[in-house]
Amino acid sequence: MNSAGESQRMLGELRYLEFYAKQIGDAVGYAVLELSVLEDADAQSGFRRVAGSGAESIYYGLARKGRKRLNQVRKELGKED
Amino acid sequence: MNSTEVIVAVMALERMSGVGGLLLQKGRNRIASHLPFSETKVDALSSALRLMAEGYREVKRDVRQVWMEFDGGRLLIVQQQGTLLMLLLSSKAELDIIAGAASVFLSEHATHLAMLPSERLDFAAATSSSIDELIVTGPRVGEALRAKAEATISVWPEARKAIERLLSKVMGRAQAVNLVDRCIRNSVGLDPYRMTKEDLRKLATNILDQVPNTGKRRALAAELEPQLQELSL
Repeated sequence: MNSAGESQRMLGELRYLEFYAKQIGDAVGYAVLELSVLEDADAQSGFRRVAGSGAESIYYGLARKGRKRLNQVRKELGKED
Repeated sequence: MNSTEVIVAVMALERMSGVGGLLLQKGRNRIASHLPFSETKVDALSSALRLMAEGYREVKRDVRQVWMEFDGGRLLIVQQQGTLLMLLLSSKAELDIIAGAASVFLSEHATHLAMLPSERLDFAAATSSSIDELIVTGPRVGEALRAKAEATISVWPEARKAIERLLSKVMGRAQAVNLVDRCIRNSVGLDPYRMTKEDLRKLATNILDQVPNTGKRRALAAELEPQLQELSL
């Protein structure tokens, strides 16, 4: 992340995704979103919760032009099964 | 392509290893729903997914895929041209293969899915036929879907650079970038990050075909093949 504008844009992306993830999670009884990856036609962003919960959550995230495979993104976010 | 083929393909997706259920919907029209949840939960989930799709559409985000890992489960959401496919996956699922298969499914059935209404159908009226249908599928459909998913490649960034390099010989850089963008936009249903080798060759040829000068077009077409071979295509 190299500018305030990009940080702001990424925060907006996270908040938007969190909002919908909460609705989806609530629908089926999933409480905490651990990791998410969103892709549009030519960009990808991913977030992993590293600490806290709810509004206090702290996330580690990435955003890029272009798209990589989901497993690759998970690894980059520090999540491996 | 008809409804039966869509249902068979949906069942093949559902049978893939690690898939615990799926939901296929277009707007309020639930086309297929096989989930291990109560009807109330499925209704709530369906609404939440629809709101998310509409929300991103309203802000002009062409979201293709969303992956969500919750504490209690994992959801893969893939959408194309207003149709949304959600898969419930276990930790054993081969994530990228299933994402590829979901994308292949939506592309292959895009024409039929595009014709379906986005308003909820009266299920009783829609199934009032006196003939009961039993659809039996073998493992072959699933194997074919998996093979197609595995065949989808992800060398688009490199391939795009090669195509733009070629075009730059006969036009300005910005013009080349715009031409590539325009051809992708016009290729309805094509996801450049999930193309087979054949799709990529077709797209590249189509892009070069837009060069107006016949001589230059032929020269570029002759140079295309070595470029693709460099990318192991």
